[in-house]
Formats: sequence, structure tokens, C-alpha cells
Amino acid sequence: MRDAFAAELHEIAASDPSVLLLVGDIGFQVFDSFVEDYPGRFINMGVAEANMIGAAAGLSLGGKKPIVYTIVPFLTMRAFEQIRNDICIQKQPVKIVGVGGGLAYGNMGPTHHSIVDMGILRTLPNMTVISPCDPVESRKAFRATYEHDGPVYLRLGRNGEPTLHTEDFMFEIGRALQMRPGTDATIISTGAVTKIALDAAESLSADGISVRVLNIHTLKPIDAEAIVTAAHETRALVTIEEHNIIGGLGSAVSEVIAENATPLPFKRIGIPDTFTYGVGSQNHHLASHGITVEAVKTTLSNMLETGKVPVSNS
Amino acid sequence: MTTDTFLGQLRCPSCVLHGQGLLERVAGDWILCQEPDCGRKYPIRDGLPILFKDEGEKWVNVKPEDLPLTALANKPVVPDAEWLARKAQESRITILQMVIRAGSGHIGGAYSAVDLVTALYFRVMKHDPSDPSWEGRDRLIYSKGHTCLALYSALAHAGYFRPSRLKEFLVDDGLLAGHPEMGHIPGVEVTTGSLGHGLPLANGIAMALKMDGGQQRVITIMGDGECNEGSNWEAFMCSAQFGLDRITAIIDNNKLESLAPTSEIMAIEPMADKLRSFGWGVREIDGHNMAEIIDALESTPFEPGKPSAIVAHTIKGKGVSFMEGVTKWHQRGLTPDEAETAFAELAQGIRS
Repeated sequence: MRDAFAAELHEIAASDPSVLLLVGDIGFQVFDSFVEDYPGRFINMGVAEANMIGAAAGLSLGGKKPIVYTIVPFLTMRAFEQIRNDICIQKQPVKIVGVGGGLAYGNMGPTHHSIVDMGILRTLPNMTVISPCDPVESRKAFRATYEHDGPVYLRLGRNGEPTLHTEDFMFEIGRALQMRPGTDATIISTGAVTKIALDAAESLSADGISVRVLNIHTLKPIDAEAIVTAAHETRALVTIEEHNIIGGLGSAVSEVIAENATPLPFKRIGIPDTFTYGVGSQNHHLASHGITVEAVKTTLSNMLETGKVPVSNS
Repeated sequence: MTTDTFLGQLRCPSCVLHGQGLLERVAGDWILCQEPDCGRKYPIRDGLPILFKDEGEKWVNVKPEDLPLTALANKPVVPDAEWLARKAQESRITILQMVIRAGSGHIGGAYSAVDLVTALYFRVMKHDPSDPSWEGRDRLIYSKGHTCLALYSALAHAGYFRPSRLKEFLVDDGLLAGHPEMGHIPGVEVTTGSLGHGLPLANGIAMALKMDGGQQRVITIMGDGECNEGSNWEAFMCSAQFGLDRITAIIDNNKLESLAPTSEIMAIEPMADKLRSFGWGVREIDGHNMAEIIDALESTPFEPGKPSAIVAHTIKGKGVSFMEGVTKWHQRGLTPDEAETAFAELAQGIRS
């Protein structure tokens, strides 16, 4: 996703000289061609995120289009108040691009994991929150981010995520993408774990269960219509995300259902409100926190069988 | 309050908007409007002039905080230190009226900054109140947003909005909140209130201007207490690193924070040395000496290629004896007795 973003950024910067890339001393070699082709437009702001976000808002006030890039936790939490005051309150269209969403920094430990970013950022008025699922979607998402007239947080994985989209598609902020049709149950996903959703759906289809996969790439504004439709057309619903189950996709979807849809068996799959202690790769942490194909399958088939929510999904 | 100097500041409320409304004291306890078509006579009772104003069908007494003040002395093309000092003193009276009316306000830090703000808006900065978004304007990033009373008064008197709107300070649905809001108040460049945001914003604005080859200045006013905030120190390094020599950071060093002296909370001295070691050109001045203020602000950059810092030594609450250097006047309303004393002292200050 990171390289896909860098490629799209390079293309956009060619036609818009006001686009600037600000980094917090992160991105070794990732932006080499940008540095070479657009002298003076790559600005390393150092390991000083509060100043970086404030200065990005200042650059925007000065008519520039700053893209701010560093690792998610430092970008979104260290400088959260700068994001709120300098960017969102002042309605500055700064684009905040975080690398290493979720557990992408695997064995770097919990300081580098981002499991609360979507939760806190979607509470900010004027903010748009986007979490693409694969490299293709990341490119389109960044294009849409650039074109959007307002602050956007774009949550990227790191690198090497597989391509999940099998055909071309229209990316529109706030419009969910159905990745797979289905009539019995729905898995709503965001980000790279959409792969787990698709694998679970494929596996369940072998058991004769038809599962829809809805990719909510935009957490905010969320596509309430697609969620309500899925809630009415299928009999059970799970959300899956690389994020705390508090505040992120699961919370956002349950808010929509509680206010707009007929109740149905519903379960959030994600980090169960714990920090990701210890050593482990991304996949190891996902598995040890119950974010697996097996967990999704078991949860869904159990809900379909009993019409109730299982006590625990892990 | 009934000194001739103070009465000299007042104008007939019925005439001040369309004429001079000069008043003259007659027979001891009366003041008389000198406008030929008016001639209204107002009594002085219990030490206060009773200035009635016409509100439709009835006449109502003007409250002390609403007493109409001198229409501003015409602004010279390049106002000198004396004119600016008087202007700042008028601003202190305006600020006092706002705080009395609202019952609250960060008056201490407004009084320490008001001489600096006055010099900026009435002499130093290039700006156009009739076109707040004029591209060529110098930018004032008012980082110590809680002391916005000084900013509001300057903006109104400079012509960004009508001075009568200063009455909307802290009023529901009014113009002026307790911290300045960009987009809501004409002339306010950025929304501040949370400390430590101004200089990072100034850095970005200065970087953008520099890329476009602009010569506009970016000036920020920050407090000494505000320098507790770590973001400022990131920003001090950044301004120097990027050679942002159109930036001037004024530290309103009034030595007091909300609860105690800065030296007892998070000492910043030697501030000038700190800033020099961070790559800034630095000058220390008496922040209430208008000649020194003008000289410093008009001598930047102090060192070529470097951002400039002015460490302005000021007194919190400057201008009112019982407020000067007294912690509790960080934010406070005034009792009627305090208000009267403050008025008298400030009016006296205009004369002296």
C-alpha cells in the first residue's frame, strides 16, 4: 500500500506544483523519485510531529497542498490536538497519510501498532477517515483524498499486502464496495483484513453458506445505506478490523444498525480492548487476538445456526 | 473619575457618531455638549457623569463601562511612539470596559501585550482592514489566544469591525469568544487558545510565503508561560533550520503564569540565550517602551538568514496599579470600586 501511495503521489505532484510532501523523518528510499523529480517539495520536518502538523496547517493557509506522512501512532496521537485545532477546526484540507495501520509494524511492538487511530479520528468534525484494503484501492483512495476539499486521514498498511480487487472499480469516498455477493450473512471489513473476510466467505461457501463481503474503505462518512441493506437482506453480521473493537469499524457499524436497522445477530471481531503486548509478527498478533479466518467462520456459522450472538469469538 | 482629564475623554452619546460631541464642564456638577444643534446638559452624580442616550422612545443612562470615549485621534501616516503609547492606553480603557461588561476576561496578559499589539497594527505591519485576506499583508499569529482582549481592541480600532461590536465579548451569538476564532472574526489569522500552536502555524505560513518569493512578515506573539509547551521548542528549531527570516517571535515575558511566577513553575530564563542557541537572532526590550518596541520590530531580521525573537520584558496587568504583577489578575472581573479606580488610573495615564 505504501508504494502504491508513493506512485500515485508522484503522478499527482507532476500536474500540481502546490502539492508538498512533509515527512517525519520516515520513508527511507520510498520517495526517492519524488525527491529527485520535485526539488524543494519533499520536506523532512524531523521527528517533531506537533510542529509538523501545525506547519502543515500553516502551509495550507499559505495556499499549498501538504501531504503529511509518518508512522500512524506518532502522526495521529502525538499530534492529535494539532490535528483537531490547526487542521479540523480551521477546515484546512491537509492530507494525513499514516503508514503502518493496525498491526503492520508486527514485531516492533505496541508503541508502533495503531489500534485506536480510526476511533479517535472519526470523532473529529470535518475529518474524513479512509482505510483502503489493498494496493490498487490505496492508489484510488489517495487520488480521492487529494481531490477532496477537506481534511482526510488515509490509513495505509505497510507494504506487500496482496491485491484483493479482481476487477476495476470506482472509488468514491463514503461509498462501500461489495467485494462478494451473498444472501445468508455479511462480513463488513476495512483495511487489509478484508483478505480474511474474503477467505472466510470463500471457505463458508463450500459449506453452502452464502456470505456477502462489504468493504467499508471509508469509516467516515460511513455508507449507512449499504450497511442497513446488508442488515435487512442477510441474517447475521460480523465486522472485522485491525483495530480495537472499541471506536473503529465495529463501533461505527453498530451505531448505524442500532439507529437504522432491524436488530440481527451482530459481532465485532478485532483487538478485544487490549494492548498488543509481547513479540510477534503481524499475522501472529492477528491470530493471538482472534482475528482469523477460523474465528470469522465459527462466529458466523454459530450465529446463523442459533440466531444468537456467541458468548466469545476468541 | 470626575477629573477633567477623564471628562475630557467622554463625548456626548447623542452626537459622537456623527460629530465630535465635545463636552464641557459647567457649574461644577454638569457637563454640556458643545455641538451647536445639541446642547444637551448631563449631570454628574456620585462621581459619575450621567450620560443619557436616545434609545427609541426613552432615554436611558449609559453605564460606566459604556461611556463613549474619545473618537480616535486621527492616525498620522507614520504614528510616532508618543501617539502609539496613547493609543495603547486607550486600548487599555477599551479592554477594561469589555471586562467590566463581560464580568470576566484575561486582563493581566492583555495589558502586558497591548503595547506590542498596538505597535504592530498601527505602525509596523502592512495590512488592510478593508481587505483582511489581502495577499500582501503581514500576518500576526496571536499564539497567546487567551489574552485576545488586546487583539480584539486593536482589530476594532484598526477598522476590521466596528468598535461597538466589542460589546459582544463573551456574549451568546456574539462576535468575540474568549479565544480568537479564524473565519468568525475579521482579521484573525488563525484560531488559537490552546498554547503552543502559534509558532508551528507561523512556520508553515512562512514556508509557503518563502516558496512563493513573498516578502510578507509572519509575526507571532507568545507568552513566557506558553514556552512551557514542548511544541514551541520543536518549532523554534524548525524556524531556524529552514532559515525562516521573515518570522518574528515576540515573547511577552510578563513573568507570571496562571497560578504562580513562571520562575517557580517552569523557569524559562535565560530565554534570550536559549533562543540564540536554537539559531535565532535575539533582542531583549522593555515591552512597554514604545520607542524600543518600534525599533526592535523595524530592525528585523536581527541576523541575516535567521528568524528573529524579541524577548519583551513586560508587566502583567500593566497600567493599573493594583493589577501589576499580581497573579490573581490573570483572569478576573472587577468590582465596581476596582472598576472606578482602574478607570481613573488609565485616564490619568493618557494625560501623563
